[in-house]
Amino acid sequence: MRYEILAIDTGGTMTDTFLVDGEGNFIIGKAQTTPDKEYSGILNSLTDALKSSRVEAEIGDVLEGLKAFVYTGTIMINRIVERKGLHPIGLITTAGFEDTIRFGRGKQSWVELPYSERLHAVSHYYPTPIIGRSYVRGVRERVLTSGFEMIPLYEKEAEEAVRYLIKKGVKAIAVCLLYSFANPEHEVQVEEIAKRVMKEEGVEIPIFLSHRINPVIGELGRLNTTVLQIYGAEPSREQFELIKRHLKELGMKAPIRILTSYGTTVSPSHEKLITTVTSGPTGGILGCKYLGDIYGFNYIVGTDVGGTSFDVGLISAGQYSLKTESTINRFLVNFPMISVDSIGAGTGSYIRLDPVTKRVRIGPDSASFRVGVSWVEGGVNTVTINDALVILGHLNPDYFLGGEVKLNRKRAEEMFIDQVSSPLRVDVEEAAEGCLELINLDMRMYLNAMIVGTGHAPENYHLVSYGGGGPLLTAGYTKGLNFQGILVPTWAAAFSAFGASTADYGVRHDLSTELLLTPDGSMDVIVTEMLNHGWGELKKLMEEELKAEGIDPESVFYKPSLRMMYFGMLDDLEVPVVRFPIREDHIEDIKQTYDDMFEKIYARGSKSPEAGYMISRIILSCSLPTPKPKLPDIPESEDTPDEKAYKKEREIFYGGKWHEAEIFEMDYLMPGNVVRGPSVVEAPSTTFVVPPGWKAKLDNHRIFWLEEDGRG
Amino acid sequence: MPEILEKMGLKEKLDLCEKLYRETGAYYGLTGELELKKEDPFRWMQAYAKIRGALVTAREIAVHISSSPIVRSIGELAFVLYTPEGDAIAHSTGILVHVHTMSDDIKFMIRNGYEENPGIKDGDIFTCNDPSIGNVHTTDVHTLVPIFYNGELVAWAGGVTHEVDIGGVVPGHDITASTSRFEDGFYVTAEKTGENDIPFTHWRIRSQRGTRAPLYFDLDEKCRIAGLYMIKRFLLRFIEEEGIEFYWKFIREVIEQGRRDLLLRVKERLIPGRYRAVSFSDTPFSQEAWQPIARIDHLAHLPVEIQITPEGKLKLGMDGASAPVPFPWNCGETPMQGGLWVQLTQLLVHNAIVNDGSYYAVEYEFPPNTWCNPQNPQFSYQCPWYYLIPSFTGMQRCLSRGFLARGFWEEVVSGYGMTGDPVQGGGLLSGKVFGEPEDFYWPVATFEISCTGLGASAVKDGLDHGYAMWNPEGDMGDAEDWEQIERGFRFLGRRLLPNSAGFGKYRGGTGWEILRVLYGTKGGQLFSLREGYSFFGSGLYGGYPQATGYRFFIKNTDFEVRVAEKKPYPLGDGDPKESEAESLVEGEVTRLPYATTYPRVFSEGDIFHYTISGGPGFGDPIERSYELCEKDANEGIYTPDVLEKVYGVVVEKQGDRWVVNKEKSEKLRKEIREKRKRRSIDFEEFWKRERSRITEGRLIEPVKRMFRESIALSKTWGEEFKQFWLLDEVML
Repeated sequence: MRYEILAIDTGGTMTDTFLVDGEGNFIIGKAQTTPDKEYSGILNSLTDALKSSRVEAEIGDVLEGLKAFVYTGTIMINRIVERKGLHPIGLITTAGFEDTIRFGRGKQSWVELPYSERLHAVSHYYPTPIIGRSYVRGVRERVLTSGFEMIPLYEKEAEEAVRYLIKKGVKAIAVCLLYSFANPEHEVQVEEIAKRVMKEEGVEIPIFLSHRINPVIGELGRLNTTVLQIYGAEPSREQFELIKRHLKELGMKAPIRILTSYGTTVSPSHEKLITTVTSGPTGGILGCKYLGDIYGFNYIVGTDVGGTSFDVGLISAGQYSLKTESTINRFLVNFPMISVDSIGAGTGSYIRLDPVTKRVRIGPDSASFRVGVSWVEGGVNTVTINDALVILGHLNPDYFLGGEVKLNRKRAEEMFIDQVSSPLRVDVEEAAEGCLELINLDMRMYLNAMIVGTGHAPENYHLVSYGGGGPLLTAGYTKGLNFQGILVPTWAAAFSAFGASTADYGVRHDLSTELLLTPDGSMDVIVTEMLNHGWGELKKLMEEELKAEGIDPESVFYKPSLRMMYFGMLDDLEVPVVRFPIREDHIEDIKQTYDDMFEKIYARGSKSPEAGYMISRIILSCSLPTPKPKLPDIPESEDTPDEKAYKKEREIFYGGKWHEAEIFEMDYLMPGNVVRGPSVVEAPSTTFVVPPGWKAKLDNHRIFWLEEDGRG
Repeated sequence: MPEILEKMGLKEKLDLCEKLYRETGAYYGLTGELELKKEDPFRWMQAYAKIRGALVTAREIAVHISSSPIVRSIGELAFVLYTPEGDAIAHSTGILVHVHTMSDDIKFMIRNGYEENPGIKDGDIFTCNDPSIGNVHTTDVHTLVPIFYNGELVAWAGGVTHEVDIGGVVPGHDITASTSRFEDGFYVTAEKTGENDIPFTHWRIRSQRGTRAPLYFDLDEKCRIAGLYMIKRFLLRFIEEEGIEFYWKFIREVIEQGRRDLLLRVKERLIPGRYRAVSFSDTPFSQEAWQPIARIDHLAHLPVEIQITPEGKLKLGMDGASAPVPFPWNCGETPMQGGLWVQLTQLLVHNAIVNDGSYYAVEYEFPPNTWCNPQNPQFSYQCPWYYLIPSFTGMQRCLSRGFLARGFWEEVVSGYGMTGDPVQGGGLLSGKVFGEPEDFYWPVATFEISCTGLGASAVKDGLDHGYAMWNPEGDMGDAEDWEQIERGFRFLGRRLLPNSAGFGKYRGGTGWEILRVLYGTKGGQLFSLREGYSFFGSGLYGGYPQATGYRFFIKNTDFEVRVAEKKPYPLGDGDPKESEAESLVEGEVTRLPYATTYPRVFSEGDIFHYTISGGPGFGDPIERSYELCEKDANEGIYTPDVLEKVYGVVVEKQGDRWVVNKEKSEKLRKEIREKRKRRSIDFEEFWKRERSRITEGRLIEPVKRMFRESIALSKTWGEEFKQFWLLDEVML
């Protein structure tokens, strides 16, 4: 069987490969990320994967046979974080608002800091700005929230601004005027003027209009999105081209598709490429959704444990939720992203004791890929959760990353005693387990809060645990939450790449609006008309884009939706709409859907339809189904694992005492096998801990089902 | 819990709790090692994390229900869990000043026998917004619910939001025109407002008729109740899981631990001794007030004294404070404790357990019959922030001296800006703008004030445009969001305000300015408040205070004509010496040296200006590096004349950049030093000169009045004043 889909997830440290054939047989690979020559990291990772292939395959043959190549990763975010994007960029904005970018609404000085530091104002600081003040020019004009022109564009000022920026040698110009989403006329006029001036000056500089990149209310978010598009996304196109060229030379015919933060894939030529900037966590949630479709689950929580963070995303009623405000490297943006929230808690999180109050603090910073003090070469001197796991015997010091990284348990113990257990006057194992319990508690509470926050309970959900560190801590962070089922895929370490491979091609457009549905229904006719008009306009825009990418607009599915709230409230919810155009009598259904959603999330007593409803965004999404991976389907055999799956036993500490644990090699476990705790299942890319009182059964799709013994 | 406690009423429990503290100095008499914590430190830490997590979650979910941008974006929402006696166990994120304020509501109800009448039972809802009991001002509305387990009251949960309007004599949330309780607006003095988890109908009717923004009031109440019930459900589960015995013991240990943490932190960071600082606040109402009683110009004395004992005990006193005022600035004792609390959390215990333990670790004295403890519920308490905020800059300066002395230079903060100029008011739309209905009311309640400049530290400049003393998570909001609500009040500019940052070797964070025009309206009324005549901070170690505010507007402008002709119109005031606004629009200019005003009527086309404060500086400005000065010039933080005059730095334009001329600057700095030497006089001479101003009465009336009041109200302060100036009697 030929490999059909290749999905790549280039993380900050490792590049993961997920390669799957038409029958669902997949292999995974890992290699170090090579930021300067990304394609070589990709090829190394692919080579690593092919090593584990049961059939011998040449890279060229594999690439040639591919139907799809999906990319998700850190090319763009790294460019932004390292400030290696396109510069200098010029900005033309509404006169009087030249400092908006510098102000960062004040919020950018603390937005990604942990809570204790948010309280500690003297530690606040702003991200280094991408556009300096001397590259910003204001032009007099004002459009109001309804789109009404209060002040016409002062063309002369626009012309002077363009000439000034040309003289400054800018490589691109961003235009962001107040309320341009409500009436883009002035931005369009500035573009026309700029083009004329450039022609006169004999230069050609690309120009980007905020209403095209992100026609959404909130000038800072719209402006940042536009600027990051120019700074981070535009220069990345070239990098994607390079990857494409190299792979093409090796025989690949499939186009490159990049995962967006809202769960579809687009081509590298997509106008709003910035929407792919943080797509890594999206992959995991799409993977969960895909599992949900196969197993028939509508409520799933995806949990990804990495070295630094714990990411959680939810699928409720078969849908993942999108958030409309977020940050990229501390810049506030307001384009839609799949809600994946994280806390700074991972296997590499540092453990510290407050010297004065003796209170244990875990994270939020971490040793990341440098593991902890147990990896001498890592140069870390503060103990981490990994060190606790080594002390407790959960991690095998000789089999970390398949033995490539040797860990030193003695060093971990000595430093743990010195830094934690001795000042607290407890045994080292007790301290290590206490710290592990604290991080598990943090994760558990966070998980619970996210689920409760949507008006549901853990009992309604299946949980999927993935990421390199997920299976190590799964039992710990799910304990007592009574999920319907806990799934640990054997390919947990490359689960995000797998998820990326399941995404359809598609785009989404949001348009801010302000449509009031009065309690007496008197506005229903007008609102119906406005909605249909909005969706119609968005569809036209989408059709142009599809054509530009060589896709027949007739072949895609269109999905309308909108965001609305009770009049007077400020936070909206996304309401799906079956089809458009709608009729006036559909408005009642829309209100009803919103009421139901609101009631689920908040208390019933908080519903407030008395003053009517406000529609804040018109949204249209489209998707084109693309080939998807199949899951392996192997008939289940007996529950006792094969002899060769057993490795040498070792002791693990759990629940305040040492236990003799069985150790298994993951690859040799077969569907149907049941692993009973205390056990540890080891693979080069991950370690799966089954504590005493727990068991895990491997099913026909090579997914473990973890549960407390005697339950169910 | 011992059986004896179980049988006690709330009042007896409260008495016992206070008695044990008095006798032992420890919360609930918990001296020695904390048993539960010693037994299993990790279970103990987890229990705290669970409670804290539940409160944070409740807040994050409930915030979406609120309608007011003040609650959603600016964080004016918080939830707290209390012991049955009313001591805070843990709190959510959000505005911290209220952690302790709600505590006093509970204690008030207990002391006044609410247990018997009207009774406290499961499902009850209580509301309070009376600043003479617990709240900061009437605009802060508290909802409290008792939590029962097996028929016994085990805790209280409290939630607070800040309303955009509370039905005062003029529209607004921090009004200027109130002189007594009877103009402050809607009052609820710890009342039972619901039963069986449902608000009373009569309460809903009364409360919604009591404010100008009933919709907001309703949604904010729903938001508080939703959060409180989440907390209630959580706590009952927690007790089920951990056991009631553990719970009782734990809540007391955790408060005692909070107390000990603060003591430890004080010992680590500060040096024992007596620290003093002073601030002032001006009320320029001789030409503003409508009511004869308020028609005076007034200066308030806001002194702070902190004593640190070798055991780490912190004592805060405000001896010498001015008398209560016929303005809305009077502040109850509880909000003062709240202010203290806010400062402690940010400066000392941001990383530790934060609860009423911190309150027990601190002693305070807000002298009775002064503005900070007026003891008369009939005074106006509508905007105590006006004095509370400046007074606590003194605390920051005191503690910062301690930090510096102890070597914690990074922790030094030389003060902060007044979160002033919250423009308020509103008007009607004219229908001229397409899509905007005629006669639609537009309220003005901007909270851009949450982004002032922070004071400089001893190693770096203060944070620019991003801090509020009452909530360090500043957010100025998007202009597009504010204008969607404040429809008729259109933005012309939001810009950095040059020379607003306090001067210093490390400068304060910069402030900013906003210019707006009334457009598409039938006019409206506007007012605002900020310090104008007096600085309320002084900077530290040679640093200067930040620029004060001023009131500036232009009426009957030719704005529309200019726009039609595409002539430049103003975007701000800029440097008032060369006002951009005055040069780019014709009209009747009003420029006042003060910023706190009563409401005035404005018409279509009128232009209104307000400023958000910068922060004070640290160290001598002539020690500021040339590199930083050059950066200031290029970023527009300071104008070249200020750099020259204050910093002794000459900048010259090269292309479109300012560059420091080092040679000229060296020379200038030398001259400044020499000039300082020439101007300096012996202390004795200075003392004599100043003394003569007192003996000869060469002081303006507001200053004389201020001294008279402080001397009359505090014997100690008066004696010290007389001793210092060697006076037998003070005749002012």
